[in-house]
Amino acid sequence: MSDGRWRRRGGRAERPMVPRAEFTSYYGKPVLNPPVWKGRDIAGYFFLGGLAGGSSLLAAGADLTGRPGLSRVAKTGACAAGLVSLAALIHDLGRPARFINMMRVFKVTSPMSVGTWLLSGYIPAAAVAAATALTGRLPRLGAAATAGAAALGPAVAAYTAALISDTAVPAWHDGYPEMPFVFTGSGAMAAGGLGLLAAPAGESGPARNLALLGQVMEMLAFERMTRRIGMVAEPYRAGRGGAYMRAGQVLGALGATGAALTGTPLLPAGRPRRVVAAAAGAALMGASVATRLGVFHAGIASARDPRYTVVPQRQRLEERARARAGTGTGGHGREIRG
Amino acid sequence: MATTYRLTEHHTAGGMSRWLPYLAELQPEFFCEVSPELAAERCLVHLGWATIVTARNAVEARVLITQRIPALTVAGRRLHQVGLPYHWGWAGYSTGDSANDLVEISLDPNVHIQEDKAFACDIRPGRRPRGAARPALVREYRRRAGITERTGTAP
Amino acid sequence: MTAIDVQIGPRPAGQPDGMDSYPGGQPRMGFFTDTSVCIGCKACEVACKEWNGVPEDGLVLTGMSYDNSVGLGADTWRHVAFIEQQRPVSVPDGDPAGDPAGDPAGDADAGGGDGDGGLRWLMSSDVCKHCTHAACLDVCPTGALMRTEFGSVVVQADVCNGCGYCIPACPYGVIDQRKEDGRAWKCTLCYDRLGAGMEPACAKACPTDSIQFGPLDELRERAAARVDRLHEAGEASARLYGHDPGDGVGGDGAFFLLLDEPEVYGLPPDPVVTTRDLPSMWRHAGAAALTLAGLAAASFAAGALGERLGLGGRR
Repeated sequence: MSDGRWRRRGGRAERPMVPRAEFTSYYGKPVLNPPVWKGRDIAGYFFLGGLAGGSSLLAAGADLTGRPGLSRVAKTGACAAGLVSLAALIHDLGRPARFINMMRVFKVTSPMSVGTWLLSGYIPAAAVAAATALTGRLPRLGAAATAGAAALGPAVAAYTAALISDTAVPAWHDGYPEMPFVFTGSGAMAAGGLGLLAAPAGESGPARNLALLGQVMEMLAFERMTRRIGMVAEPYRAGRGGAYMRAGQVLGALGATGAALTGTPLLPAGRPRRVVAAAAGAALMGASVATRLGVFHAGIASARDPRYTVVPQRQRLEERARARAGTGTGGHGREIRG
Repeated sequence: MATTYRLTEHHTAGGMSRWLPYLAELQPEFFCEVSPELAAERCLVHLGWATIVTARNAVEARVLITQRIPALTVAGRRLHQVGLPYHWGWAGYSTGDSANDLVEISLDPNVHIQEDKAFACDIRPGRRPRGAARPALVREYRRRAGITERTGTAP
Repeated sequence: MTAIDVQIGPRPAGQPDGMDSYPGGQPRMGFFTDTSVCIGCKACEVACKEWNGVPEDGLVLTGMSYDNSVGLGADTWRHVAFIEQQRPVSVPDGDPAGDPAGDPAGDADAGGGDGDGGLRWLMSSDVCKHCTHAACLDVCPTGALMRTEFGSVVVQADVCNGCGYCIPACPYGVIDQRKEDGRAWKCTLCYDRLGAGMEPACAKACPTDSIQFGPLDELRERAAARVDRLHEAGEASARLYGHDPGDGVGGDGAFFLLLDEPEVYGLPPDPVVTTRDLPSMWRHAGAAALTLAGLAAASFAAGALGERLGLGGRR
């Protein structure tokens, strides 16, 4: 204990030719500082953002294909999700009264800055779309707002993946190619779930389709991500992150089954179909919440354990040293590189 | 053998440095440093409590197990060391028992700094007894060692 | 920093280290922390807190050797690490009188009677690296984090709204949120002292000149010379960390001479600024957004297709 070096076995390397890493840390303390965000606020926001973005797309499509019930549900959902998002984001700030400072700059290097400006366009559009739909007034303004929300909605659903990936958190950063597809897939599930839950049975077909397509995309993206990132995928399978992800998978499977059933003649029309649709919709939305919480907590766990920072970086250094030695350029090795 | 020494973060008896948060947080508690062998022998746990007993008194300290305080071999006999910083006292932002309570008052004639820096002791796990039990513990040690108020004074 | 900042990646050419610099040519200033002469006195920690009014952050005996500060954070801007190691002594015994290179920290022989191998006590004062490509600065959405004319990275506490994005972005785990206060805080390289022509408080207080402050190029030269001297003296484990402009953060404004692997000190072995991958992240996010829109379109098209094929009424 007084010897300061904690030697622990590193995890499985992603490629078998890289040897199992011996790993040292400073008394087991994290190298990174984990995010100070609260799960309820930020994972909640990811869910709401995806729900809103997907719902705005459903709303626009519903308007175009004459499904007023679905349209109203989707617009209301998008607006409510957007407003609650705003409250959650401001609540999570260390100095909430200074939220307006977000609008001092626009920085492409900061997904949070980009998101601020996206939301400042999206939320008013979604609110106007919902207001015009619910009151029936100013239909042309409503149509423009719906189009605007639908144009920005996918960006709102996707940019949050770039936001968490643009950190040093291993489980988030390393997964950046697939994370946006996990997020938009999850958003599609949530939006489709809302449609199934609340829209009239005759109009909820597209919501069901979107939920199923979204679930497949999310599943495939998540599988590919966790397979590719090697040991850094462990927090997605173990601990709190793993538990939430598994819950999300179970709820998603249940919801998808129920949703698919509502699209077949197997379910008698009327009450049974409505009940299954509602349950499936709720399950799909719950799955989306669970997935966001899973990703959130997996990230926190990967930042807390120095193993996930040190081992992949050490492997990277060793690969580079081997590559340099192999090409005969005779690098100086780690002594200079540091 | 206990040996007392200073830490960089505190100053002499600690009366000035223990009241300063910036110094107190750098070394917040009275601790004793023991070798892994001694810790194993006496069932001392890293960051646990230990009671150090001499013929004069018993004090308690947190345990730091370290390789820096080695066991010595003196005249063929294994002699363990217990390292004790002497900066603590009962008052201040950071408080703790005083290591110099373990020895008699023997001050250097110019600046009255405690002269005794190394002395025989025993160390046991756990916190020290409170109240009347504390001198009772010390009396028990004296009885076993045959120490009286005349010990060390006879010509 | 301008209000509209659309730059990603390396800064404009023609600047040393690709740094923005104000007209007038103030050279980039930084720290070289030579841990081989650090004595673990923590004067740097205290001087920093005194000068910057940083609150005391916890009276906890950690048992991590003599390190009770644990790590860098909102209330610890200089952190002295202590590592006790059983290592064979690399500098031959009996040389101190004739050894001009100085004695790397604590290679005293341990074990009065047993004297096998040696004990080494590494001490190192960690600090914000003031990276050339600073992830904290890149991700800050309010513009609170800025680059000064000295090349350092500073949080403007009157702008910061505590969004917390900089905290997980830092590859070294430096910046953090002060809980009661809500804002993010870190080392300022004593920006207020630099402006008055003084050196930072920690460098001023350091009794062994382990912490050296000055123009970064000069420090890098000095460091290279120091490493060479140590290698000549037989201390093969000495190496520089964060000095290389070709590394993942473009080189640090505060770099180190270490006597072991970075992770032994709690430093990342191969830090990379997360922004390096951001263009690719945006591309993937864009693709995912388009895919979502496509899925939505397909969802409605499937419904229409179903109707066309007579697969039952509208559902």
